Amino acid sequence: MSAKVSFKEIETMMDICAPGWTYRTSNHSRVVKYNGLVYRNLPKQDEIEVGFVRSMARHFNILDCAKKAMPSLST
Amino acid sequence: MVPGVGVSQTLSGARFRNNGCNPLAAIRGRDMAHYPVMFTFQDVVSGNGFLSGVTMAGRALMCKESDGKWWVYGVHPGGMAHFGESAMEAFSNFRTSYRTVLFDIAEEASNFDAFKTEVDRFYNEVGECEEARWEEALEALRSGKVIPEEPFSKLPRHKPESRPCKVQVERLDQIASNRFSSKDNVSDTFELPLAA
Repeated sequence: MSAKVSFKEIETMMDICAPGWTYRTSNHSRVVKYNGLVYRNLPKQDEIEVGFVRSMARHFNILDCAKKAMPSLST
Repeated sequence: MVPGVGVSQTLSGARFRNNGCNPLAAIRGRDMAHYPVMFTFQDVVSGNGFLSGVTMAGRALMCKESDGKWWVYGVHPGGMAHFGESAMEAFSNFRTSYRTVLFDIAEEASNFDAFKTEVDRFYNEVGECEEARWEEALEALRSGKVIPEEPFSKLPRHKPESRPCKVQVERLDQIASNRFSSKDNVSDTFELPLAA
């Protein structure tokens, strides 16, 4: 079983849980910034493994909100 | 403080911010075990007008998630993760991903100082959530609540105090060649904290 979410879903979640967040694309990944913090290895693909989103949400301290906005994070 | 962030009490008495961290996940049993691992990486990175050596002693948390994959969540450095079908594949992918992050930082840095500053930041930017989970997993390991299975049971074990977190970013292209020494080479390590 592979748990993936679309980058569009991640954008929607971040808009809710991390207002002001930004991202750019580097050679190897998406680099996401929020609240002075940087998450450096969000994959560049359209479909992304949920574990990356879980890791990023923990890094930004928004996991509770992210779970509500993206229920697949709770599984 | 981030909205919604509070403080909760765990069974072990340790206090963690209630921001979605789930430190108790570390003690759910063999299948849900979280392993606090320690590692050392050394890389040579070419940048814009410089050559750098980056040696890093870090921490990560490894676990098998509900998707059936093994995940490595970086603690030092914090802003990264990777996965694999097995624990060793996940760690190998994490290692590769770490190197590509250094390459990305090198590409974006206009000079060595900018590279060093960003690598230091990358290494030291630690989510308090992951650090709390690492400490909880360490406690679970030390108390015997988690009994390592393979491959973790086969890993070398050392006291965390003997493997302090650190990153060293050196400029290699300005070192006189007669100062280079094979003694400076550092092999990759992948270790588990000593239980007692």
